[in-house]
Amino acid sequence: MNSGKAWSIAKKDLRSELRSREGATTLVFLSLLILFVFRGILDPRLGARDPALVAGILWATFFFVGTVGVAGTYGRERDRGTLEGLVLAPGGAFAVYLGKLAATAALTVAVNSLSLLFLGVLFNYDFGGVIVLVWLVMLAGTLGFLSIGSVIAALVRGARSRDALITILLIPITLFSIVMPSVSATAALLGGSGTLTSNLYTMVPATVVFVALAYLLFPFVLEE
Amino acid sequence: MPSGFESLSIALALTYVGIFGYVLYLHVVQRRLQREVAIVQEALRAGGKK
Amino acid sequence: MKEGDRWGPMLSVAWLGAGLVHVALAFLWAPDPRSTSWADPIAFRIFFFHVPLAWSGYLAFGIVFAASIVFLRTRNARWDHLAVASAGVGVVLISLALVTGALWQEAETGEYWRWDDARLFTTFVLWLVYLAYVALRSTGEGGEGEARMAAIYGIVAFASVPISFFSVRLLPALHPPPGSREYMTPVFVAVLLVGVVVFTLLYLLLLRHRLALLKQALTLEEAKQSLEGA
Repeated sequence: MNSGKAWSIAKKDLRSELRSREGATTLVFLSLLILFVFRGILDPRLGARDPALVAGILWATFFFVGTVGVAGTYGRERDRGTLEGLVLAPGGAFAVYLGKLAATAALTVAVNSLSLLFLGVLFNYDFGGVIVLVWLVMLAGTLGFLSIGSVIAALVRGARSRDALITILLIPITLFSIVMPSVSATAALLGGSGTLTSNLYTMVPATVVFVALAYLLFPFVLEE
Repeated sequence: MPSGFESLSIALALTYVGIFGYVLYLHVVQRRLQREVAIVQEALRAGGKK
Repeated sequence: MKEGDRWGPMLSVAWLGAGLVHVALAFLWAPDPRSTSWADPIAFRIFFFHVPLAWSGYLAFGIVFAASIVFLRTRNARWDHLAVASAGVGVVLISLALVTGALWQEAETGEYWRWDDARLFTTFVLWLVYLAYVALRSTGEGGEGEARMAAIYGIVAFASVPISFFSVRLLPALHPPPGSREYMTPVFVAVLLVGVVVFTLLYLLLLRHRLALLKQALTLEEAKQSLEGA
């Protein structure tokens, strides 16, 4: 595996992302939209009474953004027909995977960080000192989700109804291994029941396994 | 809450109805496909004769 | 393609016989009246059907998993056919397992579902996996591309089931209920094993049926293509 290649792919992706701003804007607006919807239907003082609800809203936003982000990463590439070029260049499929994962993760984590800010403002919610840990859990969950989300997005990039497929295919895989532990860990941090560490013990190994699966299968995924 | 015996009967019935239903479904689809194959093969023969 | 299927009817009748024996055993088995392992000893017999159904559902997707791996390496379409057929049969079996599981759960506790039952939960996850796999295969792409996509997904999704299972063990809200093992008498286990064997045979018979259907569909495709070519 050529780490130089992975790094250059990541940089290239991020650069084109920042230049076009198309993907980033979409994600930020999506985040605001989701939060506004929840704001509209819920009591703004909810945080004080229900940490699980805050955690749920946060992660609904994070995962929506993650799904759209990863669909965009491989969808745009596909529409422009540039993915084949990446594969042919020396360095291996896993380098492509890592590079794109890094770029997507950077973008998604940035938007999710903004979401934390938006939620605080919209709901007048004060995270307090625990914000750092909440951010770290967001990082872990986002990475876990994207690690396998990239594989699925790349897999179905050529299919009809690929966006719907991505969600359908991701649910069985990530619901209990990444999604629920993320929500549970965040809720625990915000004052609810449950522990942080037991959830991390789930998410981190799951992410490792997903990356390993990507290592084994990405060459097949990238075939045309 | 239905009695234990009711639950058992429902479970049993659903299981076997489910199995037979699936077998029936496979049968029906197979017959339809066989008919279609026959039609196409007939068309091929007719085309060959021309 | 032979018109008649000499073995089919014989095997089906033989299976029906075995199935009947299994049902009889399930009814003849008597629980220890002093045992407190369950709320309703009659409904508990659902176990003898739920467990074998779940087992064959797992087996079916295990075959999908194995066939997918072999397909990716050999690109021989036969393995893809095996995966499709096995998934088709498995979806039926796992759905029945889920329904019987819920019925049993309801008889035991009054609720149709409990997240803290690890077995019920894993069956549910596998059911979701099946649905996703079937959804993927019905996009109508067809051919090598679809086979490859499905094979990769089959592998990933199957690998994720144990991951989900271990997550549940650790999630604080989903502790498995303290189970009493006193009902695991040798007789109980024997009847259960009979069930497992019977339903494994069922899976194999249904698979055979489903593969025949697949072959028929392929024959039709070929015939249609010759027609267009002529």
